[in-house]
Amino acid sequence: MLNNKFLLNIKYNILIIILIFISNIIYSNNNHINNINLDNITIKNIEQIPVLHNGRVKPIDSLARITLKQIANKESINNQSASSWFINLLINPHKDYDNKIFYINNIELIQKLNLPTNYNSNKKPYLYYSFKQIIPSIKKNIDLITKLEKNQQSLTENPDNKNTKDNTNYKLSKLDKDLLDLYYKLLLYFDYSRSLSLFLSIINNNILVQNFDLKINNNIYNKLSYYQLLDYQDIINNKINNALQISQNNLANKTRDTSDSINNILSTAKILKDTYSDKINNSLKIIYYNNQWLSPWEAAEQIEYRENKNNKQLKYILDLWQNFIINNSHEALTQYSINNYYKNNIENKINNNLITEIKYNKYKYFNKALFGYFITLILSFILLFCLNKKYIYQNNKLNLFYIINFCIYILSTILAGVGLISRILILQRPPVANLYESILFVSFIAAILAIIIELYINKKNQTNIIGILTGSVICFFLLLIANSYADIDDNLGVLIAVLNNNFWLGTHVITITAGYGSCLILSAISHINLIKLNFSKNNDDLLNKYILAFCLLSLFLTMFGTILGGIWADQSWGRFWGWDPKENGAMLICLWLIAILHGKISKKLNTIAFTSLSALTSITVAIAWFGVNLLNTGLHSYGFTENIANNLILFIIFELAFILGLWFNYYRYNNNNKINKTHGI
Amino acid sequence: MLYKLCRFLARSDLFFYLLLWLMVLLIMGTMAQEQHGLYYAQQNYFSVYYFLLFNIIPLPGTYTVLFLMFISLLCKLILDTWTIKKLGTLVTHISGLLLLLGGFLTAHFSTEGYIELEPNQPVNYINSYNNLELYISDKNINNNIIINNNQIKNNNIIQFNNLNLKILEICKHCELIKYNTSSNNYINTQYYLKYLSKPKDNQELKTIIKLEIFDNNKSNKKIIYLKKNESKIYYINKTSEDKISKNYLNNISINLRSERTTLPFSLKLSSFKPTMHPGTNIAKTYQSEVSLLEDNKSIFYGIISMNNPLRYKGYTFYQSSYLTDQETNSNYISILAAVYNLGQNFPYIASIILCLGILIHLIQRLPKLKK
Repeated sequence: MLNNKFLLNIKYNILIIILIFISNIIYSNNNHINNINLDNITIKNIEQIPVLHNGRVKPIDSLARITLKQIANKESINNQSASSWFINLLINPHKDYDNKIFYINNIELIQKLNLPTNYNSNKKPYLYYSFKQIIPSIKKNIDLITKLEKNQQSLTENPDNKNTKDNTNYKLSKLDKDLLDLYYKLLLYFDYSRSLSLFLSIINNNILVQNFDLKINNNIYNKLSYYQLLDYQDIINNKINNALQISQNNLANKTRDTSDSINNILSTAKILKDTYSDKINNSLKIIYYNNQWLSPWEAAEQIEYRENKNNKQLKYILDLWQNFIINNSHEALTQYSINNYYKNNIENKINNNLITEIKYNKYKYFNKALFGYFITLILSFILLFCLNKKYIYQNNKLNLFYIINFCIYILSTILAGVGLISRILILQRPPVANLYESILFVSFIAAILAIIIELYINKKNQTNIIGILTGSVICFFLLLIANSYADIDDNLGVLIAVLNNNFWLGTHVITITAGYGSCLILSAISHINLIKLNFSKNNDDLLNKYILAFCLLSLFLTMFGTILGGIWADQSWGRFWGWDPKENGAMLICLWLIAILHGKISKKLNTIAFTSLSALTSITVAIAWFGVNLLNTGLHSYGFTENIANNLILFIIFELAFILGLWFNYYRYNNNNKINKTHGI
Repeated sequence: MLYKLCRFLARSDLFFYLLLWLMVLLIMGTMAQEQHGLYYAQQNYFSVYYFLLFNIIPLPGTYTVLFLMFISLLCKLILDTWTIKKLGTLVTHISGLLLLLGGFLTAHFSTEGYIELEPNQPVNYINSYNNLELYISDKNINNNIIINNNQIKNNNIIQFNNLNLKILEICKHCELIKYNTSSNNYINTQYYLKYLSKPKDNQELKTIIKLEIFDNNKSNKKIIYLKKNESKIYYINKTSEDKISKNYLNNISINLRSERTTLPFSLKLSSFKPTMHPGTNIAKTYQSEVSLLEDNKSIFYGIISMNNPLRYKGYTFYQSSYLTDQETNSNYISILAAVYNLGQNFPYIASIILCLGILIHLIQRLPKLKK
């Protein structure tokens, strides 16, 4: 799914004009193709270079990953890393136009666009197509696309206005949406592919020397780029104007024999004009100068027209890029000097964050933690069911198997912690601003609470791996859910104004998410106790106490978090409570916990009932956390609603069936026992 | 007898059932909000003492439940033996009591609305979010009358000078469709109201009312339409033969606008500044430079920004949003949310006490858990 945020930079009315130029550029004479092979060291240096994207300065590596994820739906392609692909796209755009990277997961759309499929074979149908393959069929459908685009705009502006008179205003079908989506991806791709066109070599040296009478000192290069030609722009403009005049005169006089020189000048003019059409390209804001981020073309414009003509610093950085692109990898010095420029001119803090972000992208802490939790999950179950309690304690020493399990668990938690700290450093705010982040944070809190339980139980010499088991179950499933959200798009985004307050994010949101974590642990322990009550006769007092303690802790955290949220709302919107769905959800958890606590205190609920109701806390958390995102109203909802509904309903049904089943089973079993006893058996 | 009632109300199982019912209300209200919007949910579930299920069965609303919970807590506190052992529970209950009391005060003694500030134009009133008023004035004799929300009802007749205004139709959310009919060489302009499906946000309502105006001898009848927050009057039959009847409306302006509450002071916007995340159209923060005037004297001059409100004489003003002047694209209209709330400080005090209470309770419980 392409987020609308990405399209803000592209002006809609220009889009169609771009499309006309696309064909000009792709199919124009291919003799100005660069062939640069980048080595790994060069790519490593370039991927560290900062770029302004979506309101935040990030390394090119991140931008490359986001872009490739949007276009190809994965983070590497053809054994090439995202940044390697992206840098090649910037420097050798023509080569990449044949690269099959556009992912189309809709057979209808593939058929509509007349793209090749290999249905006959047993393999998967063709899903990846190159830019050149798709563009001709998109051009055929351009009328439809413009119509769909207008339609979508009017739908987003007033979604309730279902105009019956106007038949053109209909809701977009899946095919329409996918087509529009593909079209936006193509534009995004093309935009990036042309973003360094300023520096790409386009005009033959010979032509410049022979036909334009330029005295080019540096004869090392065969071709010159638009940027290099900026120095000679007056001469070139004069020549072109003269040539145009002559050719017009020739047309008027109907003489056909224009000289080769004039023809060469005119074809050069065409190339220049095509390249100049990129001047609106501002997608890659990579030139940092005077506290602002410019795209190369914006920078070139400043040099061309403004008082900055003799600006040395701006020229210096542009020259560095130009040199890099001409000299490519062999002159290592060139790349280092680009890196040095950014290192010296950007705040230290941002520089350090760039390195953190590259590491964050590379090491994928959460995926590793997920794997670790998966192993502990399996090991814990083996320990619980296959091994006897005696095996865990051997000669008053802990079993090696158990220690390894615990170590893997702690290592996973540390990895998740490093991931969270990286996010804090990168985004300069608490890591709890959207659903994805809140899942990561809740899993971390739950993991730590589980460690505390485990250590505490160990102290009592009653190892039963309940801590690790609950922790790994919760963290594994939460990180699995988080993983499906991480793929959607740029998950390191900026905040809207109301939420942009680190103090309140740090207090309210962290307290309430910690409350969620505690609630999940409460629910998990209750599940275990419920199973124990059903299948072993003795009542585990320790577990009962833990359930009560976590009930109180959860109540404290959620209640305090909710009130803090109210105070934040009072501070920024002017009301403590507004019956917003998210607020209602948080209150639902509080009420649920207060209710079961009062039930327990008033002795209305016996152990089994209290345990079962505590186990059901997971449902209230799921509703408050994910459920309210399904409602399209409210100030808090942070998106990602697709596919939640079904999973949520499945989860609720499963939990209800599991818990109520065990509850009734317990009653039946006990009643049978009572009957048996009265009959004296 | 009173003691017995108290004992009954203080029972924790009663509280348990009240909580369950409150949860049911919450879920019902939130679902209704998804369908009909926040205002509807508040009017039908949250801000009411009772409501009618399927329009027949009366059931207690949120206010009743909260009120009963308040009484129950109060009775519990009175009847409880005050011992150190129960300190945690007692303190927690007191905080709950304060929270509910604050809610009561907020529900019944607060006004909220918004202010639209244009640069350098002092404003001394708050616009209501939901209520409307009809403002009629005569420019010649400086006479005016305000018909408030409760009086805007069908068939209500308003008298002003020697005119009578009868409300014929009120449409909460409508579009005014214009069409022409020609008869006897005159082109008549007619309108009809097209009912639209209601938006979820009450502020987006496009309310239109249809009025009949006639003078005391009922000779000159005239039908007009008024749109919310628009000064233009839409006439029916705006033809040449109507000249006479139009005359008596010449000096009169009729305005259907958001209900206004007058402030004892006024606010003036000096400048407005939005800050965007670099390179995007996503606002990072925005702020208004505002001066507060009372009796023509400047009392305060400063900045209202996100999470940084201005408080004065019980009123609080928050930076809420802004509008851009579409023609110039540079003149901003700053929108402030304004609240007057007696119960504002209760949540702050209650939250501190609540924290204390639950912490004491947890600490008192810990030794027991350790055993």
